[in-house]
Amino acid sequence: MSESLYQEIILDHYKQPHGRGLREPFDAESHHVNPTCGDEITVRVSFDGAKIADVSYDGQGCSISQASASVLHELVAGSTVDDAFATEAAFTQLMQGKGQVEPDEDVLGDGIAFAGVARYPARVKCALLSWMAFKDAAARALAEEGR
Amino acid sequence: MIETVAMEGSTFASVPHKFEAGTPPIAQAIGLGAAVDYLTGIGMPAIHQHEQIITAYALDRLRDVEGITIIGPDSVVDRGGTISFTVDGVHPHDVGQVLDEQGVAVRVGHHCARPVCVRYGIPATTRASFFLYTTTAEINAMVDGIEKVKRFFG
Repeated sequence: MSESLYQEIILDHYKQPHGRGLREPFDAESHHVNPTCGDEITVRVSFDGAKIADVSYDGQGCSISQASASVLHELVAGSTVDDAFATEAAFTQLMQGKGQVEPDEDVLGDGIAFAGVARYPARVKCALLSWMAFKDAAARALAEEGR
Repeated sequence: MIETVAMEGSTFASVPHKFEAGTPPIAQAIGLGAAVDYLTGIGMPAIHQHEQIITAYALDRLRDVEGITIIGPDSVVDRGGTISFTVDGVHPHDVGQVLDEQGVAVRVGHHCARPVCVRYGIPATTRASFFLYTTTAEINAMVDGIEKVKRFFG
């Protein structure tokens, strides 16, 4: 059962989340809610030049939404802005691929564990929640800086 | 709804009838009649009694499961044929997903009553619903499924 949805990697991130908790300083913050289920997440982004210095987050929801925020932190914090957006695009493509997209572990790291979630349309939004909040916060911070 | 139809052009009824086009729900009305006949044949008191027995049985079984908190009355008094509950440390959406994989269908979420969830300090609940066709064997399957949920996320 559930093996295709709840990979061990996802459960590990859920039980021991990486980088959880909202931190200062930050350049932008975004709060996203999934109104159909009540999952919510707040994501903060801070920049250091062309790099993402930190992605911090807090929220509540199912194991999929919270584990995916942990993976977001792991993949994006410390990377360049360009790499972060490329990773975000790859993760979104994987989640919207209806299980037909072969994930690239070099790009997505632990994010490949979510490939099975893409086959459950009702849960895709859970996996994307923190990534959408990150994209929103990062885009607004960059717009304010005029980049 | 139209007012007058002609080859040269049509005029429409005034609102709101203008926006209520189409065949009325004839099949649904006949279906509703059949459903009412079916329930009348069984007898609403018999249905109510079965629901009370099943709900009492489910409350007894769920009460004995460690980590389960039942929301609402602890008996069938002032309770319909549904039971909302939480499982310690496991989000209801995960409870529902793992139960679903085992063929047990429950509803999870706010049940259109988010302020109640906030009042109890819980993110959402898992809700089992019973009706005239629900059996004690199905309640047992649900309780077994919840034990599996606890092992899986424990």
